[in-house]
Amino acid sequence: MKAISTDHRSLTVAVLWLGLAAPQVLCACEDNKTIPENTNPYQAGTSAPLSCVPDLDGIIQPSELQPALGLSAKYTVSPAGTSRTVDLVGTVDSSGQRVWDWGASYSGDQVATIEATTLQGKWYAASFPSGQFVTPFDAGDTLEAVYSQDDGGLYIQGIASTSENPPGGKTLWVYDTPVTLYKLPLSKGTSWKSKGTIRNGMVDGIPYAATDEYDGADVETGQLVLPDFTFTQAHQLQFTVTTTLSAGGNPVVHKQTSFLFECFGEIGRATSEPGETNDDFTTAAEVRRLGT
Amino acid sequence: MRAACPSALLAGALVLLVASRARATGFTDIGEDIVPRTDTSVQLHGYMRARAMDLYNLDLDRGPTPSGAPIFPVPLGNPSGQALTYADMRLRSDIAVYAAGGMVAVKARIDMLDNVALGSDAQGVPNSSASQLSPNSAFRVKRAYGEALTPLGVLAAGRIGSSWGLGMLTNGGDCADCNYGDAADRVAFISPLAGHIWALAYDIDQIGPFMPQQPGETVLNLTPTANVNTVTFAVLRYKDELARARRRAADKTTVEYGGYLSHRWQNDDVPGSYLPTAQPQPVSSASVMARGYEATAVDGWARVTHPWFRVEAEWAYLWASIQQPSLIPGVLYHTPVTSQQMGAAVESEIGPEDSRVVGGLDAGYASGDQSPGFGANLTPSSTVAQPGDINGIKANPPFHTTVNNFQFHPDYFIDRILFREIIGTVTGAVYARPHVRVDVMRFAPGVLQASLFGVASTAVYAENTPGGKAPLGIEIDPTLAYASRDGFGIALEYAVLFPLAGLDNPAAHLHAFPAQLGRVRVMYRF
Repeated sequence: MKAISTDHRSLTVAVLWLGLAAPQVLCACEDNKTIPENTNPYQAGTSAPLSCVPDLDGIIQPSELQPALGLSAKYTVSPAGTSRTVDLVGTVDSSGQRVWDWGASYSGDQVATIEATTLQGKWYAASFPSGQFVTPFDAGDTLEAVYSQDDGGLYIQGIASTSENPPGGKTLWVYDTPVTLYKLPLSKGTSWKSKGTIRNGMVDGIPYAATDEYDGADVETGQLVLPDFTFTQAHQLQFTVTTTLSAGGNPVVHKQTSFLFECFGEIGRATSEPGETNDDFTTAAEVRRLGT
Repeated sequence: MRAACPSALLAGALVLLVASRARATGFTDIGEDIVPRTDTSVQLHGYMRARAMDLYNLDLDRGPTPSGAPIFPVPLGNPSGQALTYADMRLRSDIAVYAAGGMVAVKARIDMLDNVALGSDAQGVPNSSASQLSPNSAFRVKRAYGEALTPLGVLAAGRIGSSWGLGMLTNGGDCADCNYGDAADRVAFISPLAGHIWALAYDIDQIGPFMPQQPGETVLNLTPTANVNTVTFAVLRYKDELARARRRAADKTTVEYGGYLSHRWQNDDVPGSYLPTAQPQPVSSASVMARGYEATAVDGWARVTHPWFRVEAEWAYLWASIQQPSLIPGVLYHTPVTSQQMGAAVESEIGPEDSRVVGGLDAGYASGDQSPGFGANLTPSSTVAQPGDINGIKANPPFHTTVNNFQFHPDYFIDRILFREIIGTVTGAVYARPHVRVDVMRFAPGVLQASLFGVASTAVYAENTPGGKAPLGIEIDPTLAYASRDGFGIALEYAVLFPLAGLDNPAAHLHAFPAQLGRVRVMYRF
């Protein structure tokens, strides 16, 4: 190539100098007027890599049921004090897959935001030394449930009121041994029983002692249709929870059906009225569905 | 050529420095240089480009968006600082090998140290580095294709540059300052008939996950239904640059025009193969999702070259639908995402070819979408834009299921700060761009030109802007450029953006302040 002529060189130097100096000259070198609090590298509008992608292998592994701390999920919840007709049996489509259609919208439904958090800073943290995370237990977020998880299951450790001294009185009960909520890994046919005893507990400021027996089973997989989404391989879990008060009286039975999906956790739930005996109950005291 | 038309050559050299038009690739140039020859011959063209820029206050001092980030990066080490600097280089080589006989040509574009930032490959500890290492991607083969002349036309196959019209929709990245450039894995047949060029192209845009049959050998496409393919039919009446210049010198008006119809489709998809995941995801039959993607584009282009002026315009309309927009296997949305986009651009230049002063007015429109953010430069990990964000995903099913914002190609530059740097491209906006260019000095080795353009812009929908109001800004962009006849050129570019209400930060009660940019570019052409 030809050498750059002297004319070219001098012009190059002048233009380079002008080009780099011009902005400073024209703006008189003012400081940034709005210093951002966070000066981490610019990553506008990007999400973190997905930590879990469903593989639809019919098994929910422990790694596919990890709590996402700090991330909230929204559920529509049927109004408290009302009952709702539910279909827990579903239908079988032409491909042989069971389909539960929970896709209807109801005008009275409310939105509950569920977010898993750590126990750090909770007033009841000392009561749950092996607790790992907390989620709201009721739609009104007056109670919180404490959980732990390992490769063998997801366990509920107990319940506490969100604030230490709520107007209705403090609630705090701790199971003597964590109760298995889900046995992991989960696949159709998996079942488990677990029992937890509460001693010296408090419910709404009143002393409470009882034994809860959880009888759970993964009974079916199929397609769950919700108002916003369809999950093609939901696991249907049926629970029978029998509560026997230490003070005596007849045991109280609750039935619950939950739908779980890989990497999403619980995507739907129906809880029976007290005393329900049918696993496939048709009237629910509460129905939750993922989405708004 | 030089002896016959020195002024045209100078103008051509200046195009490398100041113009953003890109029409050197596409259907119009395939086979045009295949001529009878007795021996195999090789031609090598290209350039070495180095450029440096200083970006000053491109966050506009308007505070962060609701996501907490400024609308443009700020210096990390000095939060009160305003300037970011950058310098990079590229050595471009366009190689053409012509077989003896004049029937076959093989061409390639290989860029070396392509847009590699100067100083980015320092060896060892930064303050004691003695050398720059060769980066992993020191060579980038951007095009490689063959052309064969048949009795009916030219058959081309390979990775071929793709450009059309003004470069508003598809752009080969041939301009002096271009950063990207489209290339298509394509089989194309181009035939001249009745004074027009007729072209039919089939593109393999994407194949499903594949596995090598043998190490280093051919690969096997495991999911043919996940392929993305495009078919394009184009017809145009076109004159090359030399013919236009000749006709202009003879006081003749040249009218060129063209149109294309393009259809793209994808039946299934394997999002696990491209989604950003914390752990590599094994691909299985369960990873395959029904997608149901279809898109159709029509584009029309026309250019009138009169001895005293040139007017060129392009218009495009795109329809698309995605029957299943979910990217998560096993999770299905109930409503499809649809898209209807329209874009148009017009350029004009008034003044005879040998005039020292030419000017004109350019304008453009890119349709918008009534959802927050402009929706430019998205990736699979981009998040949905919130009110006050400048960018982000437009579709948010089931709540918002349209993506109607047309995006100009990011190499079709109409300004230097607002659309090029801050937003990323022209989308959801209307602009007007008056311009003037003056030959300050014409002398034997070259020409020194001064030019100025201004850009006034407004958003189509106020919801797209971070300020919630439509007016975006007024930008002034002067240039001083020198181009020599022997291939050397240098350009000094400056820009100042005066932001309007659309870039304010009403949530923080902050106004946006002017941004500035300085850029120097040197070119060595061969």
